[in-house]
Amino acid sequence: MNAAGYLIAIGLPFALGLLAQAAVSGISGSKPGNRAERLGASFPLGMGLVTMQMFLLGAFRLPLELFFVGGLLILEIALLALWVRLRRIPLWDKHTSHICDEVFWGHPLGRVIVAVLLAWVIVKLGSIFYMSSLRPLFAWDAWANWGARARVIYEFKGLMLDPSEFAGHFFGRGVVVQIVTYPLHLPLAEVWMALWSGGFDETASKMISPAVLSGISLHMYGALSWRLGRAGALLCVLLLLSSPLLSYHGTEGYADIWLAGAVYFACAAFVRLMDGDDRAGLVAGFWAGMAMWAKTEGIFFAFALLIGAGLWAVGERPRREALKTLAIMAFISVLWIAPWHVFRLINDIGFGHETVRASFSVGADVVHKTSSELYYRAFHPDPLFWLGAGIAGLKSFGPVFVFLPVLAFAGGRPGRRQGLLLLVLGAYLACFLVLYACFGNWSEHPDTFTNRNLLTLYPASCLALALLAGQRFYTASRHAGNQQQGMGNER
Amino acid sequence: MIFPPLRGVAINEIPMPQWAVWALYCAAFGVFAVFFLWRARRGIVARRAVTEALWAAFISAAILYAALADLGWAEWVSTDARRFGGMEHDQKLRALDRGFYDDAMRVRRWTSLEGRYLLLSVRDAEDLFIERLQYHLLPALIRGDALTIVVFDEPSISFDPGGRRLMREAHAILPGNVELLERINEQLSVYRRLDR
Repeated sequence: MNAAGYLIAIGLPFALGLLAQAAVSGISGSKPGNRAERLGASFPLGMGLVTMQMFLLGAFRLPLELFFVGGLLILEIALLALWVRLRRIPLWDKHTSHICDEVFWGHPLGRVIVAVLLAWVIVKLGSIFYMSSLRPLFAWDAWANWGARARVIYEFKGLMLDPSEFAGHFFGRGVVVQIVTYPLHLPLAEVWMALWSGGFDETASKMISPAVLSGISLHMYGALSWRLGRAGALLCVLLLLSSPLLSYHGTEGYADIWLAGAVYFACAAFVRLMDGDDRAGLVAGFWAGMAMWAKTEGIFFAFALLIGAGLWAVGERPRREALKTLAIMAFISVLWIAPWHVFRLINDIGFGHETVRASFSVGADVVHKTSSELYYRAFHPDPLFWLGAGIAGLKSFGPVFVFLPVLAFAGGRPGRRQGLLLLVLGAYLACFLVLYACFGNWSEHPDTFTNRNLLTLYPASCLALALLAGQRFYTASRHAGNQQQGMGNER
Repeated sequence: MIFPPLRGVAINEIPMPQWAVWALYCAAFGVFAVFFLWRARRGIVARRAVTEALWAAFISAAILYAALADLGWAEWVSTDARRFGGMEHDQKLRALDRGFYDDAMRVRRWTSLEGRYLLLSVRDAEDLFIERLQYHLLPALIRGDALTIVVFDEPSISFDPGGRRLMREAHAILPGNVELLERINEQLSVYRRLDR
């Protein structure tokens, strides 16, 4: 894939995401986010919109070709751009102030610190892009599940729904490994890249992952820079990128980084909601839906987020308005994922973690091995120990998960919004623990359990740590900033 | 098929003994605690001093971890740059899978003609090589009615050129005749059914 093709393949969803954010804030009347926040969320959001459209096209048996998919997208971008232009909706808040700039930025030493941190972050992100461009899909899950599905969808220009043509392989069943109940977001994103490559290039197809990681980093910088200053925000981004596992996922075609991004963006919107921007509930709901569209496990997060938002709504005044926001959040998340579940229901694809493999016996076409043969129910608490060992091992995420619970309560109770955010993350993790401790035998994959699932809440945990730091050290300036930004009050 | 070693850091590791990391964290906390408690004597309450020590320990630990992890990351990137830098897509796959990729591509020349194939192997369906072979043969799919037959690592199957049959011991395992299209290597052969 050449550079121009890559830029178009990344640029079109980016433009769609940017314009969609502007359109949503224009319709809802919410305060636009700052430039870095908007730019950071644009590509992941736009790619989610693209893959959902591709899925709907495919579900209605329309060919997934560049003419249809790209043409529709360009038309949407043109219409949105025209509408945003006519309504004079700003793409981002041009008057975002950085309330903590004076802490570091004015001082010569502060400038050096910011310059060093910025260079470090840029070099790290650049190396992740470079690394991703070197290897083709190489991790088993990336090619055997996600990549294989993307390849067949690309080659057959559809979702393989014609029973006469794909007998035994309906919807990709039995093609390499493919767990057919996995959501299609990542495969369709890879198909999108392949459409612009003119072929399924295994290196180019996964170049979406570093773009997502860059988006998370940029958004985190934007969301935190006015709370912690440029140096503080850059330090948080550096902390985020220091995880070898996150960097590795940024180079490979895994869905976990999409789930991590959706969890992070939803948490950031939830914080914004608690800051007083009621319309952010809609955004949080969308990202909760995206979490479920990225990976099945996203339903745990949507559940946890609704618990946190419910507790927020109960304690909010006026409660009626807060409950309305909660209802909108829940509705949007369900609305977003509904087509996928309706499709599964109609086509009898199932709702379990079904594994179907091809058989190689002569005379038999395919043999179905279903989840009931693979799973059993029994309480076995060993995942709790794996989790403890994973966190204490400091391997994949450094000191973040060790210090997070300690720092949350050091110096007193966390603030209301910090506490609710931690509750959401804790509830999300608890869902995994219940799953692993009560169902199935996962002892073959303790590292997967601890590392890959912790990865999905790692960016949001960095955000939580940053908010705790803001609560402890920037109380005075934050209150001043809240007034300046027109945000809600902080407990 | 041998994946290149992930030098520098393993996926989940940083190149430093865990006990050393913990010791550094504890030492950092101790030093900061002493410092902030010393400051506490000058007006800051002790509870806040401990909180500040914890935060200072965390931030210093985070920077230390980032530096260590990124040193390992840099080694990984440079190793990959040497191994894959400047290669075309096919060359990268060849570097990744070694000779197995070339073998699979030779099989693919035949399977792509029909777009479907039957795979016979003694290996388990979850075997990495079986899965990788299927992946490389995409978009051709495994179908029971395929004319193209791929035999991979199935030593009990032999080809009887006189009778033009695939045999297991003394029995033909398929009805009808087959012809040998290509013997890729000792483990991998491609046949075609002539009739059913």
